[in-house]
Amino acid sequence: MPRHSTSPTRRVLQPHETLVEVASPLDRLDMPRNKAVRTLPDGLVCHRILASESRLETIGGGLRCRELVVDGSAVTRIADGVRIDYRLSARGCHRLKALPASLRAGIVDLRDCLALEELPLGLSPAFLELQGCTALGRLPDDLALRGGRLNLRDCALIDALPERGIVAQLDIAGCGRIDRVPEGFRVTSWIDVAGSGVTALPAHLDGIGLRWRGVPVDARIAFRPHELGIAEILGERNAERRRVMLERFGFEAFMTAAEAEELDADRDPGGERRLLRVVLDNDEPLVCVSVGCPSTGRRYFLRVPPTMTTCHQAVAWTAGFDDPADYAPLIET
Amino acid sequence: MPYENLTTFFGKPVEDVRSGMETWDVTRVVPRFRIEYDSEDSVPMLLGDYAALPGVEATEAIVIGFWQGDDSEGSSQQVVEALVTYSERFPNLRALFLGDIISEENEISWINQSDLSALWPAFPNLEHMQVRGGNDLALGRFEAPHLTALILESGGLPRRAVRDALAAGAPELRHLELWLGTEDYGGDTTPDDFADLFAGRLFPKLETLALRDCAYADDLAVALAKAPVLERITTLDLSLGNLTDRGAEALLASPAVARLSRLDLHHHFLTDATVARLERLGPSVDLSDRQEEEEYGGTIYRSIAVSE
Repeated sequence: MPRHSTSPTRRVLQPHETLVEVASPLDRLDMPRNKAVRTLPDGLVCHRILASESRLETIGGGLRCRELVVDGSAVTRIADGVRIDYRLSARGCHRLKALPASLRAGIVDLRDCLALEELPLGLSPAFLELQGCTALGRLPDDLALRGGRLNLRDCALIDALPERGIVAQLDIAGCGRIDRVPEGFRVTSWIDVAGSGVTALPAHLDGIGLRWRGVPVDARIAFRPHELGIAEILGERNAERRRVMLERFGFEAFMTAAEAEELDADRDPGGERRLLRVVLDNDEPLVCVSVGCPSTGRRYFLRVPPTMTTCHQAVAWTAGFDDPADYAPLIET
Repeated sequence: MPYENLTTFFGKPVEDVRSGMETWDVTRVVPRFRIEYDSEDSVPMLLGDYAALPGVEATEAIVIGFWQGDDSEGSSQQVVEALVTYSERFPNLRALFLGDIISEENEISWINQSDLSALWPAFPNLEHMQVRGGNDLALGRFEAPHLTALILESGGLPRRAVRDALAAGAPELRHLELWLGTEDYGGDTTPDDFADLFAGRLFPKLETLALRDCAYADDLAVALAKAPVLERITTLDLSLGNLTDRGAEALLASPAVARLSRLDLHHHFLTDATVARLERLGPSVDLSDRQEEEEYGGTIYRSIAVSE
């Protein structure tokens, strides 16, 4: 689709302006936050359509474009026959339910499309962003990724990756039901495995980077945290990485092994409570409150701000009270 | 520094791609994709225009210039995604410069890079990879079987990017150039980060080792002077940094340094006597651009060439 060689044409719609007539093809249609337009004219050809936060509801009519950006809009449906060559960005379109078959865009960004339950057949993007699509049940059988990124973070219902394809980056953090990376699915750079069902790096991914919700980690931190040593955790220079090491090792085990200083101790209906502190280099001290659940009897270790001095104050903070005097639970369940 | 945009790259003249062009002389001219501050275009759209032209499959080199437009925070992420998305149109790409951006357009330390890892599998024939700007730069784990030159220019190169570079599967690498920069702009490496490189365990074909613009140039010189890697390379470049006589003494005492064919130390804080001894050492030495120390309130400052 060559662009206009002489006079690039750009149409800008104000928030309350309607789109009555449009000379197609356009180079660019800018209509962010537009409240008046519900659908685009039939047969529109436009290189870039920027309609974030608009009230567009349906996109159809044989639209042809290179780039369509409808982030945060009211779009419910992008109909079959719509052609988007380069990029579709529909982040946070909470009502979006339907996408066109054979969507050929190389970049498809559908993050936080909460109502999206399925994807169409014929998708072959390089970058597919599905983070936070919590209603999405599965990926299409014929999904063919072409080398960029597959981001499935917190797509908790999805239970399997495509059998084939190649990506540089794979994010399956929070995908508790995904427990394997198929042999035919290549990942070249990194995989984020935090909270996924993957418990070891498969042989065909040997040597690639591991991440834990964005923080680069090694296989021991990700998969065998019990092998970490206290000195190693305390000696880690990178605060982000140390936070992940602590979380993986377990606050309780760490507090015990690091011989934490007891700042306070008392009792509540759940039993004994303790407030413990370990000093960390280049970071604020690690302070945790240890509490028991009055119903289940389980012990919990909760990290609290280092300014806490009593168990009561710390527990009040975890319940959202800055002033512990306001926190006086009548009943705990 | 750097003050001038490229005029040639990978042996050919560079020209800007404009929207609406209908032809491009692929065999003669290297395309550069960049926009102005107030441009309604974007680098991804220009790449799309170019990708649609006939014959661009023969493109061997691409230069990416200023991409931010009026979004001063804009990172290279969308540019990288566009390059990967259109990569099937450029199967013969051998050289890429991501960030031909000069001081007037955006200071080197303000350029926001991104995760470049998807570029490697998209362009498996890359021989020359050059990147300007260290903020948020990640190369990822990568295999680059034909890569001969890797150049990362910055005012502060993050350790993560250095680790990625040194872990690269790049058996053909001959020229490794890292502008390490200062802590003030995110350069958080130390000589320890180069242990495997200095021990000679990486890049069997390495010829030029350039660790430039280093704010701990003396420590680096001391660590390098006895490093086995010097037995294998021909050119050592410690230019643009804050080298003083302390680091130079270590280099002077190293038989391996004396056997190099070229030693580039320009932009330094060396005394005349040390300069004279280095000139007699053996290698062809660049000792130009001597700097003067500055003193404020009793503290001596020796600035590297490129920081902000």
